[in-house]
Amino acid sequence: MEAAVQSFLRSSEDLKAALEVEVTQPQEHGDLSSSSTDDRSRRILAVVSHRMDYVGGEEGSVLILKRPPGHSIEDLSVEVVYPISGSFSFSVAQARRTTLDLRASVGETGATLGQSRTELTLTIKYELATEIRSHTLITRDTRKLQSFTAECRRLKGIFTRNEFDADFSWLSLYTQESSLKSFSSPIDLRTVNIPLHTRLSPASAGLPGDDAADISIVRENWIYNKAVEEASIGSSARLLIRTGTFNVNGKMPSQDLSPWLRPTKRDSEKSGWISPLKSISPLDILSNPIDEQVTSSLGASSATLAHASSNNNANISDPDLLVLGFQELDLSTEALLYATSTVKEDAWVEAILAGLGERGILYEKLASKQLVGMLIIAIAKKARLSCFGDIRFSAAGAGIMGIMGNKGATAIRMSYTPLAQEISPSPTVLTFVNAHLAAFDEMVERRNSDFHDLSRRLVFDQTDELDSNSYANIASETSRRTVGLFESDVLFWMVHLNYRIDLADGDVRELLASSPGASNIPLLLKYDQLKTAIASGKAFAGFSEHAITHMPSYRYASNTSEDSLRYDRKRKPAWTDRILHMSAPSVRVTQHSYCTHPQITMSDHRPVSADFELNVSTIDKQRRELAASKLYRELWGVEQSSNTPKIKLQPMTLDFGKVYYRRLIRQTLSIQNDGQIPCVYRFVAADAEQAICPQWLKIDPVVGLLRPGELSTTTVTVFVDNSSASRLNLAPPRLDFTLILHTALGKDYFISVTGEYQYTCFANKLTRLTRLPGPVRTMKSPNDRIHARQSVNAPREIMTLINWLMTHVTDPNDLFNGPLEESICMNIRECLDTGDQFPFPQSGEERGPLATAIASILVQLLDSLVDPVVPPYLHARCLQMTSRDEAFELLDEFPPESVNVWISLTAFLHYMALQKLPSQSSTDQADIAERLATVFAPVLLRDDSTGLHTPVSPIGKRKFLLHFIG
Amino acid sequence: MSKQFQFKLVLLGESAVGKSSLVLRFVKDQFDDYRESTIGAAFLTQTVTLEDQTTVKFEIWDTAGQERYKSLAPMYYRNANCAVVVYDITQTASLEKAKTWIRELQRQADPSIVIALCGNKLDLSARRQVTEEEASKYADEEGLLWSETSAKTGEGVNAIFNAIAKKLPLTAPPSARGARAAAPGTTRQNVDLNRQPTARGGEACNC
Repeated sequence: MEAAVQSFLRSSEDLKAALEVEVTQPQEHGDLSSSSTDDRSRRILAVVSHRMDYVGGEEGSVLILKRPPGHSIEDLSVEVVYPISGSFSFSVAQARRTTLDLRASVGETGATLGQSRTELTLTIKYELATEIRSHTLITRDTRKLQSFTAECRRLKGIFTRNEFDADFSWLSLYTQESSLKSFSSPIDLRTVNIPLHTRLSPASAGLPGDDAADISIVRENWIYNKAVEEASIGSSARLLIRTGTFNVNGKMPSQDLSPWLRPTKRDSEKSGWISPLKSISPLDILSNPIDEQVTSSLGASSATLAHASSNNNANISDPDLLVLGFQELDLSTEALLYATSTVKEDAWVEAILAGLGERGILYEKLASKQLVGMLIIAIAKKARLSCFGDIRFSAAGAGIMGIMGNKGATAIRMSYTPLAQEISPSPTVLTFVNAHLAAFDEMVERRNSDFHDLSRRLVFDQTDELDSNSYANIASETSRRTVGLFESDVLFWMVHLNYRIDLADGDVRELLASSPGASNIPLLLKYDQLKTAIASGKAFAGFSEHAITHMPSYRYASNTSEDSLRYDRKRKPAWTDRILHMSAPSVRVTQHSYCTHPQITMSDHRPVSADFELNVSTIDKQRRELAASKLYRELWGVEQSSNTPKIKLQPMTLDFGKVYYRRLIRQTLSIQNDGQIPCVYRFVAADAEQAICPQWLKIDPVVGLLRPGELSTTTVTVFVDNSSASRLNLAPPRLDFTLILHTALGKDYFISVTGEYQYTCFANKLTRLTRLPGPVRTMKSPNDRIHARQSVNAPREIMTLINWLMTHVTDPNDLFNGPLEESICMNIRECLDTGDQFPFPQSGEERGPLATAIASILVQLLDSLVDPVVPPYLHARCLQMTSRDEAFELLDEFPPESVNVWISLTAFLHYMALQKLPSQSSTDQADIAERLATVFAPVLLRDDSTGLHTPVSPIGKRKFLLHFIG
Repeated sequence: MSKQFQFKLVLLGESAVGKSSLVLRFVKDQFDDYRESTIGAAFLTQTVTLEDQTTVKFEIWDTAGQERYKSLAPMYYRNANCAVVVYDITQTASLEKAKTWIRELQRQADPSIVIALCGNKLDLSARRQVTEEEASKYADEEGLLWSETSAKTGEGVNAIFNAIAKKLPLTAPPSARGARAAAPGTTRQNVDLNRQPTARGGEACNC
């Protein structure tokens, strides 16, 4: 036992005495007779001393240690700590008769030869100004009790003599385990999903910030993850959830709900539909792969669509849980005031079970919560019912006066515990919110603020899950607290948000109606108010939403005032009904479908559904807590150590060689702790106003913790995107940057990053391109240029691409249809920069891929221009042009280099639109022009990124371009 | 109770003149014959007590001397109250480099900065290239503290830091801008006596 306790302690503490005891209830809570005497009351009582080498002193404390039943003696944890100070006292007495009787049943196990059979009670007291804390313990081991009491007296004597030097800060290590409460409910999703380094104190070279506070943040995070990792038993549980949202417009169920309720293969196929133009969309081509990598590592974009056929089986199997949100269940005014009737709810539950058809008997209602017109219902598979527990509800009004329930939210929180043998798995907390926010286009700010308001007000009562072994907890009052919405592992919002599309009514309808069906959805979503709110962080920051491929769910007409798509002419169509989620990194969430169900026509909205698959790795709860306390002890007190952290870096210089536009290069840096103590490190900027590294460089991870001897690998990535290239193109080619790695409470280390930037024709101004003396790579200095009088009419790079396409492309479909191969694209970009000849298709080889690559490079080059071909101040004018002649007249106002590019390009597009299509082609001539305009208009008339000029209608831009190519 | 002051000190100078060795001698009274070149900046603290019982705590940034890291030096000498610019008495070029650093400090650092010029490697005086007269004359002209030291033998090391401590304005506390946030480890001997009984006691049963 002594060995186990000593190994539990840190090296700076010595065990002075230890003995086995049994606890009774504390004296202020009832008498002794009620105590039970099984394993659960056994404790180890220890007196330990802490040597303070730097002052030559010593401090003592009594620890009461326990171990979970069935665990080995190494798995100790601290229950109570009593510092041996002036407030500490103890007394020993013969045990009372009643207690002795109770002891008799377990007598044999506790008593050993040579020990007295007498039972003694030891009372430990700690007197504070406001209260007295005490413990009463029973032991039979009088010999060890004697050494215990002797040590306590000695240590108290030391304390009394040097009272003013007492500190006891070392004890925080043992009491800090209380911070493991973080395991009792999930960490706020808004915290776990933000990069760790953003939570640290501001720091830069020579100004390290608050290292001690940073150490504790990094350590907390590291221990949490490490404990989870160590407690993971290697298997994971799968949970299928189908969520739905439906604004029923006050209607009672009158149709079969099965399409909405039962996952079909078709749902996922519909969601997987990809626009044929997607592969050439500049938005996709030009996204920065580093950013994607960063976001995915944060778990922020964990929603991925499963295309693999193996997953299709998962899609169509029955969900374990159905959670459905209804809005406008009851539109009557009485409902606002009374809302107690469950008549409507019962009818909907019945309709749901009916809609599940023959599978209905497998399900049972688990929970529901209604607030006026908003109802949330959870239905679970009977076989999995026992997995769901701790169900809590919450509701908050956000309607009239901010409290009435015509708008607002209802929510259900539940814990899901996978079935497991032998261990008690850690539960996963799922929270589902059904909300209905303010209506009308112009109320977007109100909706954003409603979201924040509801996020704050939707709270759940929680009775802390008490460890029944812990008598200390029984002693305290049952602790009640509330937990917020975001203290979940997975949070779903299945909502009628009322967010609209910020485009003119006519534009929205025209874009929805144009062929090929639904191909304009990605464009429309750029104007979606919810997407805008998420991107700007104004609301739903950090939430993921699966790509929308379905038509807007609102508002369908029930009478004659409908348009060709059956939308109500009086209301602009919108995706008002949405399903979003946010999840902790520990849960893998895969979304299998996201669609509307047009067959269900009873309401002015169409119901929306989404299928989710959750993979939760099974964590042994007890093992996790033990691992965490062990790690806490190991890592505590780093900031108190007299040692300084030491690390070794390999290599000290990262040479990236030639650095090309849009060619990702990755190198690794190994960081090893070769010091005596754990080390927390972080990369810092040279200056508070600067970033840690320039835009073309990324490091991951930025923060870390290493125990002595441990080694970690940091990835250093170079990637030059348009924004970096626009600056690098104007600077000397030598790349030289020093990364600063700061070790908390230690040194700053420098790592040199070098490279040779290769100039590119991408990401320049048109005026610069027209004055280059030759191919960009032949320039001797970034200032090399020819006189304005000698400048070429249009950049030769753009002309080279257009000439190639004019010469080689006979079928306009080749511009879009080939597979886009990055290696070919890279090759073509290189030819543009060096002036080399383009690769020619070998005889017999498909021309498609090369044509598609060159067309997409043309789009990329135009899109990379620092200023768009048509200056933003002219966009509004362009849209006013009603005829071909008017449009041509406007060219007089274009800057000269823009006119030349515009004329050459539109001539080419016009030529393409006139090409005779192969007879077997299904597309017609007008479609080709339309399609070319769809691709090129947003690039040539790119919206102003400075916000100086209001973006104009995307349809208008196309029409302007069509004047030239149609 | 005696007064306590805290100052930020930065070491500058050419590579291999012995900046890190000087700090090691001052802070830990140790010397390594073979020290790796500093690639970065090390942070150390040392307290000196003056005759009047005033204590001065130096927060020392020992910076890399290599030319390629020169652009980062301003990050470390900003807000510094004092600077020790080191040269090697056996290398004439290192004094020239020290002069460059001093000019930069006079131009860009806090105008009230106390600068000490320090000729190191006094134990190698047989190979001396920089005379005492030359260096001290320059220091006088520029209004700098000057002395020669040997990090290896320890000669003159404490004296130069003491001289700096005396020259620093000890009437008012230095600006806290440059001061590093105090870590618990650096304050452990200064226990808040009023806080101790209740704060510690309160944790007693809080497990």
